[in-house]
Amino acid sequence: MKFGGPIAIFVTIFGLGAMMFAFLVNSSPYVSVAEARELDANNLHIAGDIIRETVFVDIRNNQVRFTMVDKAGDRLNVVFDGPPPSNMGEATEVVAIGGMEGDSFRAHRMQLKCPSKYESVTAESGV
Amino acid sequence: MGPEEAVVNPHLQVPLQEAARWSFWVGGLGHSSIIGAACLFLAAILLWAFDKRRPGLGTWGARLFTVGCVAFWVAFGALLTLFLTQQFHFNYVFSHNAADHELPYRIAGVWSAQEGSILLWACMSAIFCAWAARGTGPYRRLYTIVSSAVLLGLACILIFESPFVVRPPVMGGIFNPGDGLGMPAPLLNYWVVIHPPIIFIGFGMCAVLFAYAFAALLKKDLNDWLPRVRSWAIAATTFVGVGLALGGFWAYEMLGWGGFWMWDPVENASLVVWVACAAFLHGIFVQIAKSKWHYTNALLGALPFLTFCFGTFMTRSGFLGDTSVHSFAEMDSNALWILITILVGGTGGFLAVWGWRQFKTPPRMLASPLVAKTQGLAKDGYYAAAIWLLLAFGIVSGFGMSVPLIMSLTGQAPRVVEEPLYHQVVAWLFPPLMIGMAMGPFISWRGMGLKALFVRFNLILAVTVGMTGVFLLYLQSSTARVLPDHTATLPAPGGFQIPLVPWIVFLTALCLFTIIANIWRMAQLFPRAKGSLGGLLTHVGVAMALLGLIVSRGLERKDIISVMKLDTERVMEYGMVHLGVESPPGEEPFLNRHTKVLFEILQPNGTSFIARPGLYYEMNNRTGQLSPVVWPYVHHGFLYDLYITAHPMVWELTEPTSFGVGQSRVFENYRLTFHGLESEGDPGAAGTRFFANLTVEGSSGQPIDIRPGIELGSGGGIRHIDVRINDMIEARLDRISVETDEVYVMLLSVDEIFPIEFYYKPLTGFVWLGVGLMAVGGFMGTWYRRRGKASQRDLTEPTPPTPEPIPDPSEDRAAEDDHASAPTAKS
Repeated sequence: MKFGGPIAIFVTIFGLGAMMFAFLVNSSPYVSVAEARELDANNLHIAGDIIRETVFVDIRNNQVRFTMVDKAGDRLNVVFDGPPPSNMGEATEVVAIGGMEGDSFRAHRMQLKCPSKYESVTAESGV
Repeated sequence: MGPEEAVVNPHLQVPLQEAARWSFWVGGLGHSSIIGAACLFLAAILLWAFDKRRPGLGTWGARLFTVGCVAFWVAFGALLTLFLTQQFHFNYVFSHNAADHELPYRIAGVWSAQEGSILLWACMSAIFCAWAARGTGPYRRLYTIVSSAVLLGLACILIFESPFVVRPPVMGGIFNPGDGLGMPAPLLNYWVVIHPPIIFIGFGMCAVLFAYAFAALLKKDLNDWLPRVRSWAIAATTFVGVGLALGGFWAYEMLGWGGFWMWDPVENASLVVWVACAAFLHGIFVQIAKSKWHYTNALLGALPFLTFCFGTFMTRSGFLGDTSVHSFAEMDSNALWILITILVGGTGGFLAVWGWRQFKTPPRMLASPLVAKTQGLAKDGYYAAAIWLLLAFGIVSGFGMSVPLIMSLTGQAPRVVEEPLYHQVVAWLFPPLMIGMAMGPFISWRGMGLKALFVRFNLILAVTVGMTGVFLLYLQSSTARVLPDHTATLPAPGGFQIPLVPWIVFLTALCLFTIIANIWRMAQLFPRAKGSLGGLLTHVGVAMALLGLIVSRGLERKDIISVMKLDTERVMEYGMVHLGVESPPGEEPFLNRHTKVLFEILQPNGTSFIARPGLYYEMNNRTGQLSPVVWPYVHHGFLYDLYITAHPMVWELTEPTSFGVGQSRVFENYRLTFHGLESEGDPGAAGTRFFANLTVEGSSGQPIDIRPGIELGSGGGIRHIDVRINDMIEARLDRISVETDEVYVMLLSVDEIFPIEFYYKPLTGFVWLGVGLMAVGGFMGTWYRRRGKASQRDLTEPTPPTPEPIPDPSEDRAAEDDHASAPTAKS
């Protein structure tokens, strides 16, 4: 077909452009505690440090509750639905993924990173 | 200080030993080999560059190139020696090796981190570039120049990212600490021994493809290189693909979340390379058969290596930061700039030559996948569509991986693309890719109409519908126990929700269509065109692996229960009985890496098996605290896997709850009332005890008085004095608030409780089978397409010119035969 090539190019560029746009617009943002309190979304990423003394494993409700502090120094109570990630004991940094429910942050997923500088596989929980 | 004087390492409590002098020779040899390799590659470039003016210099260039490649392996051998003999005074060995690491992990430690993995990349690139050089023929000069430039860049990176750096002196000398930090627990798995070498074999072969492509462009001969590079392309695609799958298996068996693939940037970086290899492979077939797409294939040949460099930059530059579960250390800035130079210089230089050559080339030579000039559907059109779809898939994956970088470069807050969004976007490419894989093998080179194509497929479609019906029966079967949730939905673009089960069935039908079509075609071609079977088998493997991934992830069932010590619980339709702990004799339970928690799993059919999920605690040398490590247990079956993870034990039944004097609270069916605090001993002194007077009223109705307490230890520590309420529950005084006169009390379980994650994952065995078929298909293709007896041929002579370009006669004859006797509904 005479115009098959240009049509194919147009469709391809349009399709790729649409996909890239979808990625950029719908990707999950990293936010601070203060920003999270203002946003109504379920895909927020909050990075911060775990306050180790506040970690509590609620075995009855299959939850883990703890308090974290973001880089700005704001504290946030986090409720994670699931069993405790395996390296929660030594992890100092966490990325909680979820959304605000009242005053607490309801996390459906967590990324924990070990306090080391070398290559390490971190625990990815709640997937 | 003499060697006999042991110095105690205050941190590790292990006597230090003076570092063995020979180890410095070995380390020096390793580092010198890398520097030497860089010099040799530079010399090889210059000698080959001047070979045209002074013939004979190239021979020396070839020798120096080979010696340079060997030098990388000398460095690898040196590093391996340091690991095997545990020379912990070398920084890299200290950080990634430990005294208790078994032999396989001492070996794997070599490539477990930044510097070692770059060395592995260099070694694999070197060995395959040297191996392939023998068969380059007229491209030898330019091929060696390009591959030397690549290897020179890698050597320069290693000079700055050296694994041979010695730890700083201690008390005036260099001592072997006797132990190291070791690899992180998730890496202490047999996959760390297997996965990196396999995938880096593939990455190393990508350097061959790049060097060949660039050499062909520079030489202005885009014909002869393709038959020479074809086997390498098949092998690279196979090794990278299998390596990717092995990484998925590693995640499945190690990380405890039951999945294979997370669209993590590190995973995507390898996926893009594999997709680029596959696109190039399809382009090769067309050029060999139809003598077209010369410049397109040159570009596709360079793409795997360049995309790998980009992925390496992304994952090791630190841009990804918190967005990846693979937290690589950031590269040395000099090394990073060298990598950027390879990437930008290689890409820019290649594209400049590529564009210039096209500008100089007659239009008739510029046929590309943009235009397929045949009547109706034709095989080159199919391959064109396949290449476009593969490249689109690679672009989408690579773009998603790059979103954090794009946000960073544009000054915006970081964002990351999550798994559901990837699925929503990539799903658009899945149906055309699968249909293409199914129908492509049946399409003729000479073109055919839709009706003729359909005639070939009507029986295949019928079988596919039948097999989909079988799949539906499987879903509904109580024996299979898949029990899909018919109310579950998936997010779709535009905010819509699509029903999960029909979507899974649709995707499964596409995979079945591809599998059946390719098996059908294999049966047709088997006697006549064995060379084509490898590719068809690879298609079967890819479709089968995807079917397994889709069903096992989409229809998995998950439950979380708590199992008390020596107790029995129900989970789904299974019973779970805790039997105890299994640990090597003489070892403290839970402090040994081989500790397993034993559960008897009672299956609905009356049989049972013993599950052994791993759970142990290891001392973190940095924090001085014990950290739990879990390893899931996978009960493999062909139709389903049971995936069991035992999480760290807990005893806490409630959170610490505050009590004022006279206050009562109810939890766990018990009412606790706090009456007051008592103390024994001098306040603030070690040994002082505080007791909380509590009354507990339980379901029995009889109140009991308890006095849980806290004892102050020396150095500020405390010891809890817990009090048992009954056979199952204890009370603990967690802490005292002096400011508010409150105490914090919590209830504990007497016996440890194991939180268990239990997955039922249908058809996971298909993933393993599919990957195996992919590997077999790839090796078959490589074997049948290999260039025989290259070593006996004069390497300076080109291959005999091919006659007028003709389609692959065996495939076309089969296609014509099939057209004449195509299976129809009547036959």
